Amino acid sequence: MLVVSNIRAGYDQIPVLHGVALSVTAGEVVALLGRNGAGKTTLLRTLAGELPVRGGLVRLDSQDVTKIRAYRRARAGIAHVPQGRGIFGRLTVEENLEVGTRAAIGRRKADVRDEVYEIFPVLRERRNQLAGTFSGGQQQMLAIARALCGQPKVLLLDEPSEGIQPNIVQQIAELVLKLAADKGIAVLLVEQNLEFVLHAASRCLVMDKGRIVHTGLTTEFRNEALLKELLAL
Amino acid sequence: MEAAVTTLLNALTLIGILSLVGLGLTISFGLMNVTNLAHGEFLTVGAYAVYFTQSFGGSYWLGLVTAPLAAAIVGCALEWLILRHLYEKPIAAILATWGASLVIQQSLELVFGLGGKPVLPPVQGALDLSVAAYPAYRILLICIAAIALGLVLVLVRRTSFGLDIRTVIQNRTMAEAVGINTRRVYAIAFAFGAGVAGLAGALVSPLTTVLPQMGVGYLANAFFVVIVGGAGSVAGLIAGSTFIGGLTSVLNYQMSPSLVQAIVLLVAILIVRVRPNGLLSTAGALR
Repeated sequence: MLVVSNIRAGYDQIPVLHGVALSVTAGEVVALLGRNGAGKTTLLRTLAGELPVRGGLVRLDSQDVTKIRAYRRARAGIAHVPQGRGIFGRLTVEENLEVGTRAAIGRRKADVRDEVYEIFPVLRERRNQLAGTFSGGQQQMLAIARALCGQPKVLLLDEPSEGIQPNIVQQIAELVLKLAADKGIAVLLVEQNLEFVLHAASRCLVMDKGRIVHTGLTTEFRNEALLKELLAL
Repeated sequence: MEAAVTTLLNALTLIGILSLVGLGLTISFGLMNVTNLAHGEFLTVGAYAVYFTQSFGGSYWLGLVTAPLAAAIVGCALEWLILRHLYEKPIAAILATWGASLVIQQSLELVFGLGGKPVLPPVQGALDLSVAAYPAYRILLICIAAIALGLVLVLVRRTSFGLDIRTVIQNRTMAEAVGINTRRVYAIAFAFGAGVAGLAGALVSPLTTVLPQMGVGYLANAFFVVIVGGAGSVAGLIAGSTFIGGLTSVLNYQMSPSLVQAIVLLVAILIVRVRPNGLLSTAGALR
């Protein structure tokens, strides 16, 4: 599904990613781990098209999306839920979801908003409320719901558990796992919360200084000694 | 009574024009953070479009359709050639649009020659409103301006393109991430604002002589309107126009126009001192 080979990217003159390669298959949840500044968020932003790729390739199915702009990547099927969630606070819930359907333009005809409301009944109840009035957990649900409205093939999630109460974190982890399995979405997840990772992800990649330094099954990461060594927690 | 009705209608004329001119500014200044000093020229282009149409024997109504199109084309060219490269450099954009404003004025002079051009109104005479007689064309102007503003509100609040504009304005990066072509939305929104200013130019053209510099005076007033009303909101735009247009019309009845300008500016400064975000600010969401 998503195949990334040897990409380099960064901010203006400062390189951050020094040749990252990874792949995520349909229905799989892969977690990116690593210390602050390892380049995890930069990697997601680069894959979403927010930052230009300086070298290497990004492929989605058989399509090369390395050079195309962010909105066309979204329409090709890459959805990005950034850190801080990026919901449109001055739009209503309904409007946020409508805007989410723009990513399906030219690829899918059916409007899946009703289906998304089935998954998130709370959003249907509050469809006319301004999204900015929501709590952190509700905003995260809305951000994921908005991404689903674009019927993505790949979902990039940046710290979905950040600033959210623990009982909701568990719910979101289960939801991500279920969405990947039911809809065959490839999920690439940056997460500091290990509970979340152990629950949702099947594979983990560890990044350090702009490179992937370790790859393994999530079960392997239950070993605390290894975790300490890799993440220097 | 007669004076009151006349003043009210004068105020409505001015409010209508200021709202239409201010719309493009509230989009570019309030929402894209571009200080477009060439905005007055969109009005001028609209007025010249009516003159041009009439000089070929076309009707005022044909001119009224041509004017927003001509201004939108000029707006589109300005955005594509200059502004889109300067969204991250607001100071450079001020200089560039000032230059563009001079270029447009001089080009109009080169093409159409020196001196004012006349435009004939579509209706002549006065309408008897029982308490006062008022020029029929001005009443028509008020109606057209009101309809145009109503359509703008519907477009912004109810249509899918309006939603795209509101989304891009709140968070451009995220709008792009959900699949909106933000460059296209900026270009269309800018051209749309220019077109509406062109419509305002067409509406004022029969009331004045059409000159290359006619837009300059409206530019300053339109900036007052946007700043006093609260940048980036259609309701604020109408509030600002009502305030500036209303005050100007009432005072014009009592004293000389230059003193009126000074007083209006003073009151505008006081308002912005008390409410820095304007009368009705929605902080970055076109509503």
